[in-house]
Amino acid sequence: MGKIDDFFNKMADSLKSTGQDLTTIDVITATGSLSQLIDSESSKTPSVKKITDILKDLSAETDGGPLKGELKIVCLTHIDFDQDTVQYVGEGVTSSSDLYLLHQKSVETAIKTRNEMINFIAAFLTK
Amino acid sequence: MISEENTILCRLFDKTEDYTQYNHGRFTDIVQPLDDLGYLNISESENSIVDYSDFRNAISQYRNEAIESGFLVRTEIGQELPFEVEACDKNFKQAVEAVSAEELSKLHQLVELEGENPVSVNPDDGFSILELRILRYRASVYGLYSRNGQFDSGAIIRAMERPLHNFFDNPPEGTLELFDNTNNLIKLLSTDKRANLPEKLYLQINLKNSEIRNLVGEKTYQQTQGVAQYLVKKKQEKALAAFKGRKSRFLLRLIQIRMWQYGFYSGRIDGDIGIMTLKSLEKFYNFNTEIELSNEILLPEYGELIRFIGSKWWEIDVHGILNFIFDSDENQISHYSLSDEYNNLQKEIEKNKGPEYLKTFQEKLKIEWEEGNSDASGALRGKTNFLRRVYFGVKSLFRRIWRGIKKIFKEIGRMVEDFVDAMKSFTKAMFREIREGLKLLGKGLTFLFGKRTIVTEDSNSRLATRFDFDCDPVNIFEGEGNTIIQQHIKQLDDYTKGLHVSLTLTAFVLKTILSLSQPILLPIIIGDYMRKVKGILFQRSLMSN
Repeated sequence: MGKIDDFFNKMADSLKSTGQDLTTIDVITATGSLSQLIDSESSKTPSVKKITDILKDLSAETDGGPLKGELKIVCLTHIDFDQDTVQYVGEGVTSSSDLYLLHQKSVETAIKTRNEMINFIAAFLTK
Repeated sequence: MISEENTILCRLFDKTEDYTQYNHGRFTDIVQPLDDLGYLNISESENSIVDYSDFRNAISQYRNEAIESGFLVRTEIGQELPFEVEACDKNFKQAVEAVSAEELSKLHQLVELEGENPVSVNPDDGFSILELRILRYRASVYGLYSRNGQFDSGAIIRAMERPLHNFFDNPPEGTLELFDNTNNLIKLLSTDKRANLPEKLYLQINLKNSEIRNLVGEKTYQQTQGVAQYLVKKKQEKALAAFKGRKSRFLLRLIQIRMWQYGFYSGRIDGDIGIMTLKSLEKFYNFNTEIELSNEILLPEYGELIRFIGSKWWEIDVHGILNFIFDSDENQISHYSLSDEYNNLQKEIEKNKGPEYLKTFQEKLKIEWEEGNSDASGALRGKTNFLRRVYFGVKSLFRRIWRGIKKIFKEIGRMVEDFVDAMKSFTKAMFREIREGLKLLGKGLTFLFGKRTIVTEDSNSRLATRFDFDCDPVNIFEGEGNTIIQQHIKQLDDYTKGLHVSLTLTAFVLKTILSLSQPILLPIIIGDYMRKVKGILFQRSLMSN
């Protein structure tokens, strides 16, 4: 029974996490060394690590633990399902700097792609 | 002595068609059959100018061969042609008129179907040179041999014999079947496809059994069987009375042309069967089957013959026919330069000699012209020339009809070309749409199932963006400077451009694939799919505008 409970608990957590992911938007712009974050040898197009892994690395930095790459957050934006928005802008970053513009563009892109993704799911599920 | 005006006239009249105008066609009427029979080779002559010595030699050669074959007798021959004449000299007219009406009439008979002295060429008797010329001309009409090709007796006989023995039960593989369907006809007439056509086409009249029965008239046969005596006497008329209907006439025309081509038939190509047609069929049947028909030919035997001819495939040299139709017409067009030349001459005279001199020249030209016309038309008006006038009238009519047919064929050819071009454009447009659709689909699938990573880099820096499964992006910039950032922003723009269309299309395609497990719905799905794709493309075109 315990294993089944664990399974359902994990599934519920996973669904909750997925639902939370789908209802919120997180955009991160960072600078640093990508040598350990980007696997450029495995394929023609370099692949970037998953965001969760990056966030783990960032949290490790916050906790003062070991860091695989030297990352510095430049901007971070969190948009909640009710459009409540939290934005972090790093020190020395102005609204006219290119990285800030890139970040804003990424937010715009994220909203757009998220909408398209939802539309896709809706189109797929409905007749 | 040739005056200056005469020199100008000579220059003006120094072409074949000028003499046609000048002598009311008499010169052309002599030259044309000589050319058809290979005594002259006008089409290869530069600017179609007929050299007098060639003309004289051709007449001489024709006379010798015609006498040798017994086609002409010496009393029918006109005068000897002058050894040498000036083009505009009156002597030239004498030279032209040295050809007697009888020999001219017979000369034409060699290349015409109708006339007072029908020519029959029987292969059983062997061929004289004149007969070979006739056969070569007839073969050229059917596209079996080039009229301007080498005069090779063996090749001509082979060309003539080829279709005689080449009746096929089925056309050989890899060949185009003429009249089999419209597409083949379009392929045939499309000018840019002409070079790619096979060497030979195969024509079949393809009569149904019921049509053959109608043709040979079984009922007529059964009813009249009891009166054998009457059949023997009136067999041809009765046999032919059974040939009714348009298709029968078409078949009969083809048969008559084929019999004419073999030399078995020399009557009219009119689609009506007469004694000449029947006799030619008898000859053909005997020659082809080596079975002698009885003197009392009964109707079923004709029926068998018609069935045999109607059910087989005939070999046709399509290149020869097309060249005959198109190229000869193009050559003709290039000859008509008289009016241009005359206008240029007038301008030249006015410029060099003044308007007064031009006026004098025009008056003299008018007198010359009227004199020439008077002579020629007077000769034609003669009471004894009634048959010739009728003959030339018929010939002229045939020429006009032939020119009309060629124009129609050319017009059809142009229409077919336009149609083919339109189809090409349509196909290209369709391919473009399909290619665009596939691109959009690919983009949608890449977004859904790909790595969703965008990387921009140069020698100093590198910028990467990765989208999570729920489209949360992370940008990581490494290096110095900011030159690649703007490029990267542009890449992000491109990434989202058209994403809506791509994903809508992808969703629809995926849904369709899943729905394919229900085959009964397949027609509905295909219809729905077509409608959807159309809507998506329309929406896309609106967005792009």
